[in-house]
Amino acid sequence: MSAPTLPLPDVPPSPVSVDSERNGNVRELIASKELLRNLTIRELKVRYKRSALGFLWTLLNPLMMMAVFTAIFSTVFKSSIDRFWLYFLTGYLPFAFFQASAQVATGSIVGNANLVRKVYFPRSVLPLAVVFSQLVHLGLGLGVLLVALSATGEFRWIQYLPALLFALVLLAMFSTGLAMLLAAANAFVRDIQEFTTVAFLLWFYATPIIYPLEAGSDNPIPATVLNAVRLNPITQYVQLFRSALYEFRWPGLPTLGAATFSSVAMLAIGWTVFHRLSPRFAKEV
Amino acid sequence: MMEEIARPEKAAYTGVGPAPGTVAVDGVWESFKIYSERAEGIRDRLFAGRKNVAEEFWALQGVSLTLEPGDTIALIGENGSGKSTLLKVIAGILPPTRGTVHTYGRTASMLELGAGFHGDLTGRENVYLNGSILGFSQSYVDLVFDDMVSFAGPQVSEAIDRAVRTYSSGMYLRLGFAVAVHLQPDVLIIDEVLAVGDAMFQKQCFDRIHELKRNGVTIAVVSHDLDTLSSLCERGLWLEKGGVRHEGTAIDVVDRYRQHIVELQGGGEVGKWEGGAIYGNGAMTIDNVHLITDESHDGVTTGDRVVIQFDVTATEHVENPVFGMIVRANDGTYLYDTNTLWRRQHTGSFDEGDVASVGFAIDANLLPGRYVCTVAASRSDGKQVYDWHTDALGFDVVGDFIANGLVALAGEISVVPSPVVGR
Repeated sequence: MSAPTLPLPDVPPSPVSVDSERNGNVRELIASKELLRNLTIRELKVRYKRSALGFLWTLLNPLMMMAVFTAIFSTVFKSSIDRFWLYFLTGYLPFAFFQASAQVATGSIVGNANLVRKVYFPRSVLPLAVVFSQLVHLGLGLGVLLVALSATGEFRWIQYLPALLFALVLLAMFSTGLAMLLAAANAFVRDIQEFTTVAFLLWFYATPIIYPLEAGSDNPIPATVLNAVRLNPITQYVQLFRSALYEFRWPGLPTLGAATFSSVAMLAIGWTVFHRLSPRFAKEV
Repeated sequence: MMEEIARPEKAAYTGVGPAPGTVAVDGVWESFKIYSERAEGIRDRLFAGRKNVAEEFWALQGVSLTLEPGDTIALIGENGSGKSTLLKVIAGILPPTRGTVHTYGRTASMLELGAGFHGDLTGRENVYLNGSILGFSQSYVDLVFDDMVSFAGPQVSEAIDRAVRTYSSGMYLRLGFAVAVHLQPDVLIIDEVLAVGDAMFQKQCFDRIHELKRNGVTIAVVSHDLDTLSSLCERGLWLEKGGVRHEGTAIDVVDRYRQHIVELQGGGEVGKWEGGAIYGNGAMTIDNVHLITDESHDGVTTGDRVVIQFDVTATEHVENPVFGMIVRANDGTYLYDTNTLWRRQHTGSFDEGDVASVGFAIDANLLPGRYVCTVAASRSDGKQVYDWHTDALGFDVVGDFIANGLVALAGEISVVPSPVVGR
């Protein structure tokens, strides 16, 4: 038998004893990055663990949605949108990421009640792990989209990659903010979970995924409604994605500004509310 | 196989501020809101009259406690006295409503074994996940992984790459315990999780916790097994209705608490032992635990042969059950533990309603003092407890054997003059 291995502390004993930081600040979150990574991997692994196609569903799901909507809008509703499949995917992929992040994260505190009641760790890793795992799904979806674009001989997207990455960051920030807000609120008021199902259905139609945003004779949506749709922050992100992957041009400054503002504001609100409420999670779940 | 438990050198602390392992609880109050009917929906929250929504309950009422690195403290008290709440406050799970809590260094809580295990992940994946939930890095878990798995036993190590959904509940707990005791925190918090698995595994667990204690880990424990507490801990804290009733050495606090329980139950008869925890699934029940002493004189004298005898009744069909008993000194020191499984004694088949009398003869080579006996019946493999009576029987050993310690190793003393060389 080999000599027993010594379990050595991974960090040398620190010269200054650290008072456990249980204040939920950014530093504590950064110190928990391995936990965040492991929880993200758990989300990814568990989701398709017992399905035959497994991870393929990440790709199949948007493709099937695209097929359904393209079929409907090319036959029944006769959409005037050019390359409907691309228009749809550039709106649907970011929206699906946003919806899944917020909806799954809503249940993340209550769903891990066992952990929250028994172990201390920065609670924010729970909704964040959901957002990160959804980000992986979105990344794969976008990857396939880029391959498909290239296959059709379209390479202009390469030039606009920085805009695409920026749009991703902004969307992820906004989604994180809402995910944290909903997760925290749901720990206290369980109705949130039920409510989100309907809310996100409405949100889907309030986002220009299957109709054009510009008013015109061929757009069945009235101009007043379209103006309201423009106020939807997700519309701004979808516009950013479309300018990089559909229109192949740089986004306008007003859109960029509005999207940045929404992202920062949502993240600040979500983060603040979450950390205001998180000390009471263990008593409420 | 007894594994050599690794003991990393603890570097001498020369830093600034309290050393890792220090816990300072200062004037902590903790309130819970009790909803008459748990109000969790919007309607209840918004429309329920304010008066009947919540009643405030103070689980902790101004508790202060300071632990130095390496301290071991037993938290004792009745249900609802606030001991588990205090553990959660130390662990950081519940921030205090009033007062302050500071813990220095890394804290690991063992409030539930395998908390956070996911059924669809393999044992290996869960070990790493659990490690990071408890605050330990991947590279640290890498170092202790093999020890951890071999500690959990061959069944678990064979199944380490299978989903834990397929594990038996025993395997699940073993793995959970192995994870918890192989991470070396500065502060370890344990709540009622010590009584897992069979006797062998329990012993393994205790050895490991003692090892952590020797390594200077600060330990705070809640358990109903008072003997365990007094043998594991140096310090004791008795909580009553959220406040500190008594603080002192663990042995002292446990004694006072036992006395209090006896008084509560209307005063114990002299010589009647107030037993400890009784548990088991009830497939067999134990009663009438008594001591048969040497008839030539009263009481038990050092060196007497006595029989610890009890009746067992089967409430269902059981095959070859294991009967066992443990003798401890009054301060909880573990002296002697034996059972029919280890002694390879076949006990036969029992049908529902069958009764038998079980006797353990022992030579009471014990010095004068008080001793307590725990008796138990369990399944043929020892892994499922039918009925367990902690400290079911207490007896005093008297006599004029003059020595210090616990056991009478007896023997004569010889003094023989040696031939002196070179006078």
